[in-house]
Amino acid sequence: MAQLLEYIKMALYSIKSNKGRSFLTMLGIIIGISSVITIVSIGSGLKADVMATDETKSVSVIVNKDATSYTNIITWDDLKAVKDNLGNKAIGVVSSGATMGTVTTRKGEFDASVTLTMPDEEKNPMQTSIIRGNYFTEDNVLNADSVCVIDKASALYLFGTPDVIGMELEATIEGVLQTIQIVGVRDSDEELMKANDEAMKMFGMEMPVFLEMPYTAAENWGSQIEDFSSLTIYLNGGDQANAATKSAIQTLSARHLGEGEELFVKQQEMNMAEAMGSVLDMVTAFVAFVAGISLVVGGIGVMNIMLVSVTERTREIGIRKALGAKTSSIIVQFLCESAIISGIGGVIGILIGAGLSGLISVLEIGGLSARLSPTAIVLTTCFSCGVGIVFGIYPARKAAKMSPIDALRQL
Amino acid sequence: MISIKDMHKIYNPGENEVRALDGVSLEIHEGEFVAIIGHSGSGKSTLMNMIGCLDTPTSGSYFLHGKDVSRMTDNELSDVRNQEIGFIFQGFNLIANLDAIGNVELPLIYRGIDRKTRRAAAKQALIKVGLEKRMTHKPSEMSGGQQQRVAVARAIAASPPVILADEPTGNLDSKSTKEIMQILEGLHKSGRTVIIITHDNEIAEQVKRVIYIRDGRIEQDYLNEEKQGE
Repeated sequence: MAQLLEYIKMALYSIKSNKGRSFLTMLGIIIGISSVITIVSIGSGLKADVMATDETKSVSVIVNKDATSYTNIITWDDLKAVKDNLGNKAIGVVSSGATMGTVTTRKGEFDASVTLTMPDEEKNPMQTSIIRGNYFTEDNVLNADSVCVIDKASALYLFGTPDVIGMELEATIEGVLQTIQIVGVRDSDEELMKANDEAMKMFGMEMPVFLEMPYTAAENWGSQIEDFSSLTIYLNGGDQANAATKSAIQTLSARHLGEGEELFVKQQEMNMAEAMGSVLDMVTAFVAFVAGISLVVGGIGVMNIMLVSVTERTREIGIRKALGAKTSSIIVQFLCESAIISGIGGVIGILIGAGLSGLISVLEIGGLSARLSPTAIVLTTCFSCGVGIVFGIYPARKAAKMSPIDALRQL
Repeated sequence: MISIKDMHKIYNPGENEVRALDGVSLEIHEGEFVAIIGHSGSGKSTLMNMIGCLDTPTSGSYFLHGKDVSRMTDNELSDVRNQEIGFIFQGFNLIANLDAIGNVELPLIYRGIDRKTRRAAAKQALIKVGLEKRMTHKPSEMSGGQQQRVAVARAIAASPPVILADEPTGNLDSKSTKEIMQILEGLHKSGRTVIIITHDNEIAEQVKRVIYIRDGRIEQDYLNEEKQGE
């Protein structure tokens, strides 16, 4: 093994004496490695961004349809018990439903999207805040009051002003005409509104009016809503998701003893961030694979140059063999050379890739951010040395198999 | 120490076969100073390849120091070349991008000798050929005579018992030729077996024993009269 050091020295010496050519050989590897590093960095940067924007803010527990035939078994008291037991893990617990209706004003008739929910819906972290008035209260729920919270865009649309507290709406829901008093205005997400608006225009529809009402208001149009089949917990921080789910299921199970096993389960929802993350992973892997092809091309470049080098150095090989170099010595010498060339190329490529990633992050080109991935660095380093060795084997064997007399005879 | 019996080397067996060696038998003892002479195509280079373990014969046997070399594998031959034989070639055959000491070190590297010992031995060898001032010069920075002296230093650095010189003076002027011959003579006097392959009768005259090869056979094997007296 002490010999190996000698072969490495020989290889370094030979690379040094052919600087220009060695660099050109490295170029393929440099380009390949730096593009793989840059792409993987951008990929993981994007993924981190996506993940950061969408941590888990709510979890839902549903009645297991496989365990019972009648699924509306979660009561108002159940909700309260769940909320009490959650303590500071949660900021709110709601069960909600939805229905459609129409709102009539002097301007005409508009579709309405009605969410039937509970006071805790105010705390929904995915929703905007209340900017006028107040959310409806528990009393409103208990009295089945005909009150609503309207969103700002709808208010502007219907009345031309967001100051609509105390105003009344004429609405037909489930065929029953009723008067609903506005108690609060929820801010509208401008971008979302714009996007919705455009989509609606494109399909020739008008945007519905968004109303949130106490779930008991359904009684006013003849629907009976007493119990629920699901509940949603608004979390006090994303890391509480599992604990909150567990606590809620325990509470509910304890309150519904004897009604069956595994009555309540966590709702399997497709997490947007996870979905986006896995799509990004796939795209990154694909593009990195394409960039990886350039590594293979680079490797072939190394092989090509090594073959030329073997031909050029036939005489040197002959001399070395005459002086006692074994087949293995020559193979190791040439393998060292190709591995070092591609290894150095790899290191330069990593530096360039890291530099590019940093530059992209700093300049925010195209809003991209890049995160240098240690895994990518380790993998590409191994890969570039591997490329050198794999593509060096053929030239090295060719060199080593030369007979010393044939090699010496060449001039 | 060198014992060749009925050695044949046939190239292109079949229609156009070339009998480069056609039944050569030869004994060379330790400490001899031998010239193998012959015209080009006589088979002397093939014989030198055989003696130098660079090639294996088609048939016949070759014992070097009692070991049957003719049946060895390539790797075993590499070891024999490294330990038993020091080569000097007509074209010097130095590695261009290594300096003088780097070239002289090569056989020692392949023998697996550590760096310190190696350097010392290489320096000693260069001093012996009078190149102590040119150790870090590259071959391109030296004259032909100096390059050949580096080659001689390389051949003796690992102290092999046999020095095999193939036309060592073929590319040299008369002054350098004289220097190289003196060095070879010195090596012989210090107990080494020196074998020179040449077509130059003048060189052959300076050597004790002359083996004349023609058409792959030994035609004459005689001792130089004038040298015999010494």
